[in-house]
Amino acid sequence: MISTDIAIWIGALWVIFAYSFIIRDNPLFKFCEATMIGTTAGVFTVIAFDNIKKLALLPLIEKQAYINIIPLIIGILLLAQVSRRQFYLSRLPIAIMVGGGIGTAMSRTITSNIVIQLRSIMVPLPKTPFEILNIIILIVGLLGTLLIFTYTRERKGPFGWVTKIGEYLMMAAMGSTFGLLITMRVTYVITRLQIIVFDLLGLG
Amino acid sequence: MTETKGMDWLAFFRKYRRQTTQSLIIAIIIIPLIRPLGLPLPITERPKAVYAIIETLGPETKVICSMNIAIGLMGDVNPGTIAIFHHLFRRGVKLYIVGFNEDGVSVILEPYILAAAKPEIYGYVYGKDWCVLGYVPGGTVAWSTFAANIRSAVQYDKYGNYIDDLPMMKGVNSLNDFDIILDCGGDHTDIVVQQWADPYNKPYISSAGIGGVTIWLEPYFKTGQLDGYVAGVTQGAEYEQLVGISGRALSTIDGVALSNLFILTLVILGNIMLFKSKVR
Repeated sequence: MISTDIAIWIGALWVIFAYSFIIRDNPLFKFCEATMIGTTAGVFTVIAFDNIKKLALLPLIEKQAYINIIPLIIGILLLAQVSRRQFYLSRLPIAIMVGGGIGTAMSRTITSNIVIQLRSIMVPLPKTPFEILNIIILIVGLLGTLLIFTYTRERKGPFGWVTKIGEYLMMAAMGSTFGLLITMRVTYVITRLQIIVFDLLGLG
Repeated sequence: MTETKGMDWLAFFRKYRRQTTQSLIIAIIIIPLIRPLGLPLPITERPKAVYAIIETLGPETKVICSMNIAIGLMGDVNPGTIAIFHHLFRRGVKLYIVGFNEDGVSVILEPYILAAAKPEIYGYVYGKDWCVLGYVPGGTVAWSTFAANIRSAVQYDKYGNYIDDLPMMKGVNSLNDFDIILDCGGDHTDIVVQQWADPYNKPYISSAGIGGVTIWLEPYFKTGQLDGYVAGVTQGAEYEQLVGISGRALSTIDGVALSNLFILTLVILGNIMLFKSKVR
């Protein structure tokens, strides 16, 4: 049963327009691309204004949160980027954003990403042959991967071997990530095609 | 003779165009959508861990959900997220949803997640059983601020209601007042671990894209900083099976399996051809 919903028709047509790029670049693809960029810009502009309203203006007007005047002024200073003469004013909000972000992240990164991760490799002494093998792989892999980033020593002898193992392990990890990303993209294509097969044509 | 045959294949692969692969993948995907193959789907450990955790939750449990699904990831993340939402609604938990990226709460949540999971069919009432606290901009600082003092980050919910007017917000002031963290999206696993799960010592489950497994999810799962995850459409389908719903993930996995097989074949063929050309 073919759908009569206009939204589904638009969605399906845009999917076809987007994938028409497989054949070659064409006006339908360009139209689809332009509408997507335009729509995205429009939606995110509305979201940005809605945020200013809910996070700053409404509390200021309805709840007399006068402290909100400060972030509003700092936010307005960001717009100084468009002026060559007043450009320097925009450095203050950028400094606050970058500094605040780095400060907040750094304080927790050491505990969560270094201490706890390192603690996880300090496991009890292995008992079974399988556990021993696992620990050897873990230690050699960890050392090898870390030693790759040693640039002050020539990779020869045992040092070269360990770094080579680290290199292979890193390639395996990156290959796995890349493979999973491809799977993710394929999934994305499938869900787009579901709009045509299930929603538009009513098949399946 | 063999030499000539090999040369032909090399010539064929040199002329091979990427459009051929793309068209073939689309064909391979469409066939199982129309006629499902019903490939077996064993349920793996990670979704089982999420299921077991949610099974222990009850009507008094407060779940904080950070909804950060990016538009580009929704095909992969949405099925698992919808299945988890069904499960949460079935358990009757109190669900607090907040977003830290532009897409999650503002674009994805209502038309895709809630339209499919339908809180109203489970008797959920907005403000009493579930609420959407909106999008909080500011990255890491926003996560940290929200966790320390919700009202300093959010004063109005997504629909413009003052959050103190919502009955379920009474006595909820910081992350300490929640029982479990659910992150949907998976792109911010490191931030959730650093700013929420570790400092507040809360159980943490995630619904994420398959692309983030190696870099975002497994390192934290192995250390116990992440208690379970549903990654990608395949694990989403597994979770649909666990919960007993027939969502879109189950119809997707045949296509994923066939296209993966096809890509793997191309990778092997490409390597054989590369090896042959080097030998020559």
